[in-house]
Amino acid sequence: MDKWIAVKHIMTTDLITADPDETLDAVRHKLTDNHIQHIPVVEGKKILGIISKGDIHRMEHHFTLFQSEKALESNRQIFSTILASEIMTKSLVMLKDTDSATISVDLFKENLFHALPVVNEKDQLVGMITPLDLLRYAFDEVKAID
Amino acid sequence: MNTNKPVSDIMTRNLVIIRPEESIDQIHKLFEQHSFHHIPVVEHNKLVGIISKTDYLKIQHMLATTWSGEVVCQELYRDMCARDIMSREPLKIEPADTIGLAADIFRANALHALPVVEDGELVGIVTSHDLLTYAYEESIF
Repeated sequence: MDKWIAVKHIMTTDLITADPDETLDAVRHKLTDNHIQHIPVVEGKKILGIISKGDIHRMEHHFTLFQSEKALESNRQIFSTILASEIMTKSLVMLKDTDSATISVDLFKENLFHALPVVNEKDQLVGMITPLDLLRYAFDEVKAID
Repeated sequence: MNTNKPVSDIMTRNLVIIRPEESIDQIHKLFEQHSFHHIPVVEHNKLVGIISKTDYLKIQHMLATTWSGEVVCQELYRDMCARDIMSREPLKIEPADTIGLAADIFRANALHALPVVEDGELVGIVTSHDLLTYAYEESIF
């Protein structure tokens, strides 16, 4: 395996994205239906922010765990009125598509992120990379050689 | 890269663990103090569950008191413990299992942490970060 390989060769390019004016309800469904933990918020190809499943959990009513009627109603109200642009994380750490896999490994080891957006030279969002993408590349590559 | 090495070569042995009856407050403190995202729950040296930061976030709101439910929140919060929010029967691996097998389990299950258990006893934890470090720092290319 080549640890200096550019992230554009191992990132996920088939992205599910959210619009800034999409409701949190729609965002929550996209995360759940597609079994993803993070969703980039975009305007055209420009990334404006990112929303994680953790951000969604933070917005839920504190009795959601108990499925109380009040909690479900509160969630319905909050999630149908708050927009993606209102809760997304705007200060992003991003990678260039030409950055090496090793750089992304170093960033993930800081343990602050589980997904990083990747942009091209025009600052357009072209992919996302996660620790699982990096593991897939490293270990599948070895299997192929074996 | 040698994927046939045992996970015991790369696992973390110096673990922060919690007992099932430990309070939510204690879990809160551990996640505040440390950068890890998973805490194994151990009873009589046996692994009985694992708490991820996501599990914890789901109940985190109970830490905040609201004007509408302050008393109820505090009571519920005080009564809950690690056992109530942990994932039971977590996927686990043995120290002699290979690093390649750990990587397969992580990829197939989109996991980030696997407890390492020998005869039911927790001896370590291996994370996706451990595997990344091994794969990308061991590589000489």
